[in-house]
Amino acid sequence: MPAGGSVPVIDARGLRKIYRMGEVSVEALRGIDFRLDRGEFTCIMGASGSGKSTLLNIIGCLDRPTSGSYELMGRRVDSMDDDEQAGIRNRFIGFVFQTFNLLPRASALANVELPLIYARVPGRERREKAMHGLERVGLADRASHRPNQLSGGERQRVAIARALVTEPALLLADEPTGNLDSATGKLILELFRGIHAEGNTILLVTHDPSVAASASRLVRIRDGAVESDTTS
Amino acid sequence: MNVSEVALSAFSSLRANRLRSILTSVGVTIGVTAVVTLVGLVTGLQNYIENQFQSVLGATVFEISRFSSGFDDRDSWLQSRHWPHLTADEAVQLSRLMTTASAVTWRAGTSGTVSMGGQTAQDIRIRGLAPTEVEVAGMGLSYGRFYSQAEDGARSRVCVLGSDLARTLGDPASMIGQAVTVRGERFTVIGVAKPLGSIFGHGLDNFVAIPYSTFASIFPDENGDDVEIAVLPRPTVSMAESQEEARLLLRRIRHVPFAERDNFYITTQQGIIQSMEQVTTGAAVVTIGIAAISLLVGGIGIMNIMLVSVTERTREIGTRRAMGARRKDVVRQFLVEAVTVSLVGGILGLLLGFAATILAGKLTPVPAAVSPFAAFLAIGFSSAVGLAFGIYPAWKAARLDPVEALRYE
Repeated sequence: MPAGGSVPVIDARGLRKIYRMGEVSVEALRGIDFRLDRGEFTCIMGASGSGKSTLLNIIGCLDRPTSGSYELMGRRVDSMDDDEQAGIRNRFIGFVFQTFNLLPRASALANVELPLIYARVPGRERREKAMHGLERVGLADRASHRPNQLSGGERQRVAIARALVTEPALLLADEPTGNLDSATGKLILELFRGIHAEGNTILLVTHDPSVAASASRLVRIRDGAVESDTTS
Repeated sequence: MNVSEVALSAFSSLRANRLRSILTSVGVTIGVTAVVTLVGLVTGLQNYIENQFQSVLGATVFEISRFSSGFDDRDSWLQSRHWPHLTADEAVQLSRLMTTASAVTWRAGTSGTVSMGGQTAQDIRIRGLAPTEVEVAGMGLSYGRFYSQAEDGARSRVCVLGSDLARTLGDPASMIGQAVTVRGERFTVIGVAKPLGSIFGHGLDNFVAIPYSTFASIFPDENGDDVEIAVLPRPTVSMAESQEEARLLLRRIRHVPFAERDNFYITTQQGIIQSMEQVTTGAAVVTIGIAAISLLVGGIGIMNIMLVSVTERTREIGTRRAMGARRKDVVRQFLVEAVTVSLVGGILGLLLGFAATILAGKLTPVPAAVSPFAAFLAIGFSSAVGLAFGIYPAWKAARLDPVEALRYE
């Protein structure tokens, strides 16, 4: 646990999300309280349809809750407008996706540069930072390769480098091993543990218990509510 | 993301679909080619017309005729035919009464065969000119002299040859005093005129000038009594003032009732130039309309491809949004891409248009001009098309919900 008194990375209370589809409304989140402290490596588990994706989208500032409050690094972000949310995502959050989501026509280096472009980091500094990011995931020699010239594991490492390049307060990973074979998946989880050991805060979403075992805290979601919250 | 970075990323995404991008820009290329070529041709043509008139005919003289020398409608031409002839007598009266004219002359003309010795020239303009022609039109002579008032009064059989005709018939230097046959009538050469040049590629020096009175007496069937009058105003008088005096005097001479309109036309070189420019401008407007249609089609092509591109890259848009791109960053990215496609088409069109203009300049007498204005038009038009037709796809891209976009397969 981190030193007491510091601001939590995530402090969400009473998160509700209701989707209206014509006459029918679906309650995806039924009042979730969730707190994540600095330096934690937490895993959220749940079956599909449990509401974990909805929660992840709200935590990632890609969506807003219908009600409840959400503070990220001490800032109320649940009621921010679109541009403000984009700024928050850029500054505080690094995303890692199941499908990697690299830009197919850009080199590994250019992909890692992407968040820095939106952070208005000047060109030379941007390339240096991106190169350093690739070194961190052991892919410095692949800097000029395009995604289709890389293996699945390498692509996910580029994506992780991209997520970390802005030094975000929170690394959000959504099924990061879902598209990888189990051996490669293990390597990627190894990488996450290394990143955690460097002091980063990681929130990882999965439905795979073996992946969840990597984390020090496990939150289970079911039917839009927290079912269990255990720290190992 | 600054503009040069957006432009670079636009280029790389266009390079990835090279053929598609080129095909998309073809519509704009055609439109811009048309615009650039037309601007080149029209400016060239207008310069040409002006030069032709200014170099050959004095801009200071005005002419009076029963027919309009502009491009008037058929009705006014038919009307002209019912007006009484403009006669040499009227010209003489005008010449006596005008106080603002430094010289007045009158002209009639026909055409026919001219021969001298063994040489024969066909289709030669036979001009019946009053002796004052020299003062009004400033006809210079290479050899000999112009005929006098007395020779005109006596209906003398003397003539002055145009320089081209003189060369056709023999050695111009040794022609003075020689006998020449004009439509079967014998004349004596007393002068050879200096070259007048040509207008619209049509030589003006294939003529023989004979005294007006002689013309009227020996060619009575050739409308010798329906002349064109030319007036050179005094240097101290304005063109308009002199024209007005001539108009009022001629109305009186021709007994035009008070309420009736003139039964003659007064034209200046400026007026002719203006009416010719009306024609070229009219043609340009029509063809620019066609160019606008092809630009429209090109723009629709761009919009179509951009919409396809937005759909194809939905996941990319979602990723960019997750990385912190704002809606306006997405708008800018796609807008710059659309403008880039359009500009590439525009620049291609500009080059093709310049090539066409230069080719036209080589193959026709029109000095078609490649102008910076055309380049400005090309860049302006193609950017405008890219912006106008790129805004909707860009807006569509920016409107995508990031969550949906990231989930898009």
